Amino acid sequence: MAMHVINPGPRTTIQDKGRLGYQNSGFAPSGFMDRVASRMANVLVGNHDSDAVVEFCLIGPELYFDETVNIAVCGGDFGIDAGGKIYPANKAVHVPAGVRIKITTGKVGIYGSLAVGGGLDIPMVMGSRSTNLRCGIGGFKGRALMAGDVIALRSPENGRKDLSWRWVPPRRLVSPDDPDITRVRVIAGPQEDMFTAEGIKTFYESSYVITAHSDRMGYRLSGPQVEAKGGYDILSDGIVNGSIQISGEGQPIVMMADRQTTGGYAKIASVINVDIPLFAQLRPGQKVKFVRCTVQEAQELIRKADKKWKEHCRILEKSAPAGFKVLGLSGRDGGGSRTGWKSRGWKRKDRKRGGSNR
Amino acid sequence: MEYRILPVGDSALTIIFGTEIDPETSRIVRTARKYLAKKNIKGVNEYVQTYATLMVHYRPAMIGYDELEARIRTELAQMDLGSGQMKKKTIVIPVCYGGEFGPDLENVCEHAGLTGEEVIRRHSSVDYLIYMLGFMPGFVYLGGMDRSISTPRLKNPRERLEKGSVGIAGDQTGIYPLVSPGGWQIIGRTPLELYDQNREKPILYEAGEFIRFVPITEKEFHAIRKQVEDGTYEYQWIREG
Repeated sequence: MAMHVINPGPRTTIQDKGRLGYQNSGFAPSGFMDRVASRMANVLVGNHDSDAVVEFCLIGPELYFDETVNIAVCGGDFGIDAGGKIYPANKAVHVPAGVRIKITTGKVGIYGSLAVGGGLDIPMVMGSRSTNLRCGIGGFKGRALMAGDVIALRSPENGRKDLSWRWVPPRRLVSPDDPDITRVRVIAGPQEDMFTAEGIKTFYESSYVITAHSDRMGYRLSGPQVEAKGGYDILSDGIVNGSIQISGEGQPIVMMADRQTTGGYAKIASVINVDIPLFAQLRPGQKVKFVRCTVQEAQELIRKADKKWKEHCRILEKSAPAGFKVLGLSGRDGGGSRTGWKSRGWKRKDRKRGGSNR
Repeated sequence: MEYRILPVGDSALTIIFGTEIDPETSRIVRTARKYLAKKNIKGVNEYVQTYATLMVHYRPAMIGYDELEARIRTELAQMDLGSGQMKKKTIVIPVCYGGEFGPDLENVCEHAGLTGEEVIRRHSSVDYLIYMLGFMPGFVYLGGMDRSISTPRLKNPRERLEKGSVGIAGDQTGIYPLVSPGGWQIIGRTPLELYDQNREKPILYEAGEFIRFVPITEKEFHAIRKQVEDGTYEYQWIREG
């Protein structure tokens, strides 16, 4: 009962909700880059929403299972090629033992989460299965996946029955108003006062391009220089997921899952929780524009997203065959997506889009 | 005690107690961390201590910013700073200085105009306050090094420093708990395992505690290393006050 890696793809790691509670000792939490996608992929295959997934970056893995399993891919515009049959993302796929799985890459999005029914049988390290590449801990042997890796599977709570009736509509990853620039909401501070009025204006009125020097630690952006009053250095303080540091060259760096826990650059703002998954899906070359938001507004959005997430799980449950239990209602923060969902049920045209092309 | 509270995104806030590196500010931050942690505030995940600030990570689905800020202000108003006069707790870190383990000891001697023995004596005669951890797991920002042994970083950083490497960079000294690239002047190595995922506390020490380096010979290094690997080594703590 295992997953066999034929070709891992360039940056494929095991991630779950993250290693929480050790930041005071200097451990980055790691964890999902796109929390919404990972939870959804898990729920589609009958797992708990915080279970470990195989996370890949742009190029997915090639693999097979030595037993029949359900898998699902969510995140960017990916697809599953199972022995020559192509299935879309956002849908459970019932894969017979031995069938070669490849991931197809589309035009938008960069991170993909592949969930396997039952979950990956990987030991917890300090409360998490997430890979921390920098420290070489967690995940599969503390490293990115390699060809020939064999990863054991846990046995699914729902058995190995066919779940391919389960699908969700795809999430919208680009703005319908302006597909070229993604608006990302941020909360100012905690060092906004280190920047000149002109610098702050530049930051909010310009657009910034995601550069190729972007990874799980942080996304380096490039654009007009954000002017500071004095220098950009501060007495090191704490960093969160989404903290926007301004480097010595006046360029923003958005800190991501594998960030350092503390840092010495001034932070002009932080990306709000519900926008982090969408921001994480931006490819190098794409542009962002930062938009101010208050902490109260951001927290209201989290509560709404949470409510929506629970609703989605309920809808899935309703459409389930009798006796089928939908897991994933553990109610973690900020899970839902901000667009792409109807509040009650999904329309016929969504069904077509989300369904497989059998 | 004066402080400011500011949001850091929607899932953390920072309590700012000062803007300088100094032992008294650090003591206040630590006292507040310990005090608040004991209050088990609903929705708070963890506290991260830095030089002069305390970061509070929380779950906004369980507690909103306004409520948490008010709660923290109420709690801090009742905090007795005197009771935070915690006992001084020092961990003993044995270090084999020079030779293969400390290839840059000579650089430090040359820069300081001191003999190797004297550099070692000055480096190991201070109890260093751990201001904070960060940069990598278990990496300590220490205060209190004798400035007479300050030495600038290497011009060309090494690609690989072994775990346990003890070094100097400018006025700072510290230890690398894991293998890492780095530009510090490496003067010795400890045989201790500073990070162990299977230990109850994966990282031995925390901010507010002290570190004392004790010189050992190469023979002692290997003997302690063996005990550490066998799981028989007993970590030495000095408690005072």
